[in-house]
Amino acid sequence: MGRNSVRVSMGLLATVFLSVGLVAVTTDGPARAAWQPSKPVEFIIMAGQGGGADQYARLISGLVEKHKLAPVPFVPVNKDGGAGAVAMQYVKGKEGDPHTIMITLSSFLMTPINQKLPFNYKDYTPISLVALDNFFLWVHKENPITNVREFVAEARKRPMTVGGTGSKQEDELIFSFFEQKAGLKPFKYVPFKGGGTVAANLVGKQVESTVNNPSEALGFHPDKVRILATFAEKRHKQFPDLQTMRELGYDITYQMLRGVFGPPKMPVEARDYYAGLLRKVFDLNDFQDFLEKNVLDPSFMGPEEFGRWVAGQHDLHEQIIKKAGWVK
Amino acid sequence: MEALLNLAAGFEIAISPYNLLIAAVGVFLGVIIGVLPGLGGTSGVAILLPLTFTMPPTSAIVFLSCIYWGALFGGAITSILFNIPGEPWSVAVMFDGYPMARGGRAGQALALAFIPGFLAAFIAILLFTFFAPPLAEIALRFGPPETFAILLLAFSTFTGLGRGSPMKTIASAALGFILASVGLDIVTGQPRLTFDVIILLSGFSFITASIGAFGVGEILQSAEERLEFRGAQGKVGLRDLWLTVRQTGRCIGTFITGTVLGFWIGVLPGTGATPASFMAYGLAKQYSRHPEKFGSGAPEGIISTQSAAQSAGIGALLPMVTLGIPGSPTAAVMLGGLYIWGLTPGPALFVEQKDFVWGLIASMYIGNAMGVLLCLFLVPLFAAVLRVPAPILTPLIILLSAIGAYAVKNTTLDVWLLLVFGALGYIFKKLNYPLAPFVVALVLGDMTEEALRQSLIMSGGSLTIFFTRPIAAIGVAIALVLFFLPALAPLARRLLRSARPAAAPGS
Repeated sequence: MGRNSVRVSMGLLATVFLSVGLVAVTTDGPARAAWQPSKPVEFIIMAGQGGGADQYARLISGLVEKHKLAPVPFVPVNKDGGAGAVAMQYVKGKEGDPHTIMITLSSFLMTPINQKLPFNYKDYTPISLVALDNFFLWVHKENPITNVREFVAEARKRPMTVGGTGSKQEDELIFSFFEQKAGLKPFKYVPFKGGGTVAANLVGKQVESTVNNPSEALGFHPDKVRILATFAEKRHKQFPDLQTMRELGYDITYQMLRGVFGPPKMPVEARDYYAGLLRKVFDLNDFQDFLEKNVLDPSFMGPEEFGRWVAGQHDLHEQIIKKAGWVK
Repeated sequence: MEALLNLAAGFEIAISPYNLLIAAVGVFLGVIIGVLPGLGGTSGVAILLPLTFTMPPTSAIVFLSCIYWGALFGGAITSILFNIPGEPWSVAVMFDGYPMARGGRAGQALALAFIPGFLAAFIAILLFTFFAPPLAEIALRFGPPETFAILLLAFSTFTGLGRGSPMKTIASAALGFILASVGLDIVTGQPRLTFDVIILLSGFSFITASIGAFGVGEILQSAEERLEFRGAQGKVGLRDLWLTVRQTGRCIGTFITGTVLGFWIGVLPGTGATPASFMAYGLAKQYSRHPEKFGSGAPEGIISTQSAAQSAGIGALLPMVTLGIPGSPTAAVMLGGLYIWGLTPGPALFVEQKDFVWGLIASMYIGNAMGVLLCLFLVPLFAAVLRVPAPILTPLIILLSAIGAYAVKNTTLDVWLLLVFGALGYIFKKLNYPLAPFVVALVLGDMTEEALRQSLIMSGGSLTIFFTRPIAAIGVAIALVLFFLPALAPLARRLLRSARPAAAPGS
């Protein structure tokens, strides 16, 4: 243990030395078992207040506080704008900082591709994946379409009006994927600012179908909305009868990462500390309840596994985006 | 009847000593959050959310909603006293509140904001108590075309807003529209006017622009004239309260319009208190007998905007409680809280969690009553701030504005933009360009464009969608009439005049 803490201090000193060119800070004091944050942690959210990512970040920081899992508070800071680009740029500038972490969603992979930004997932330190969010295919309860077969038949006849969050983000990606695989007429895709608004427009019959995350539209089920299928790989235990798109003959699976990254070159000790902490949060009953109620797949990955997984996801997103013709 | 029984049960929960204490603390914190520019009700609720994790759900929602009520009151204070919007929805209150305060009637201006604001909130809560579920159903029928029609109405009420040269008004609004279009376009996902600068992808914040253009611009101008704030006197006696109530009575039409319009706009998802306050101002001016007094301290200007803002605040919680849809960003943060407290938002909440919902509704009455009392007591204190010598007060206000600008997006860029907009505001004033059309275009331009383009995607590019849907058609028709009224009215008058002499010889 003692050796460990020496290594930590050495690592920190080296970082300070290299980046500032000064040896000014001492990190000794009573020898501690492992690295711990020594000041409040900035928990960057790459979306606005009230969105999905915001809810997860506030849930995690709330649970850390409630169960006293860390010696310092985790302060959620929204850096919205530019579909995540602003947050990514900010965290990129925090190179080597052990007190900044960022909660991400699919735009973490897609925005750098869409906007041709000078950075991408490779620049960040993967910490852990906490859950995979699902997407369902929804229609209004009063819609005569009751299953995917009927949906496809209708969508081959005429361009259906569908809605989703943002433009060239996950919802449009799924619809575009669906269009390609099932040979449908191009959807009239109406972009809205947030998932809650998308669900409201489905319930209000402004659009015919959406691919809302369960957490956004389940409140209306089964009185106002109908679920036709899930885009997950396997069926959900909460909905044992709900078929996956793959079972129905359309090879479309899509899940959204809910994971945490650190800035470039985050010290390994800090990375492992946060991964351990997130594991503790993940194991809490409160967190598991939340995942189950909102039909998220509980899937925890540590830094190395998460890093490999993200690289694969990046290539997949790049492929679909190119195929959809969003980026030349 | 059932609503009354539920409400009585709700009151039993809300007046427990613990919940009353929680409500009082919430309102107090809310007023402070409202007073601080840039730190909005949404951020306030988000920052204080962790405090609620150890509370029972009903106390937690009482606490958060009381912060919101407090912020709705508090926002007006900074606007009226310093010409700096404490909250986005209190930008419109500045138009007449600040001139009145400068004219030496700060206390009266504040009372004119608080008392009608409270009465409006009270009416809105009554509507909420008795008609929440059916109103939420109607709100769902408002899609993008209807939202566009409403926003078009908002603009049409503003055509007569700029005093002086119409060309200057158009130039000012055009600048607002241009700045509103900067950033990532939500419809195509393409960056616009960002010149490859990543931080510009998030666009310009209307809060930073209005704190800068109004607040900093005003300070620059008064520094040039002479370094002092006029109108430092501000006491609210019982007589002032009585005068305010009578004043509200005289402007009852304005007050009712503001309240009902505000409430309904608040209920609609995706609009909120800010456009409501602008629309109410535009309407009040359009139908006032003394439109020329607007902008120089007209009581109607304060009454209309504050009553709209406060009833919109109440309305914004309606879709959240009945349907689980956030009507405003603040409601969205509260919805996130529901998960943490272990509740599932949605239509079932209204049925299954009666204690929670009715406890919340009862606390609306209590929280707003606490808010108005607290604010009225604090008026002399706030007005006393104006007696601090200007060389001390001015830097403090600039510091507060800079913190506020930073808080909007947590970026230092906004602090620099604050200064740029301050200079812009100063230049506007010197050259006699009106500032209001600029901020209105900046805040509503984005929403209007989005609603228009969403509608056009739905219709496959055809404008007929605005005329085949009855609600949208009515809205657009009224808006078009209002747009052309200033041009048509003199024409009609001339026609009438020329018709009369022509008829006279024949008779």
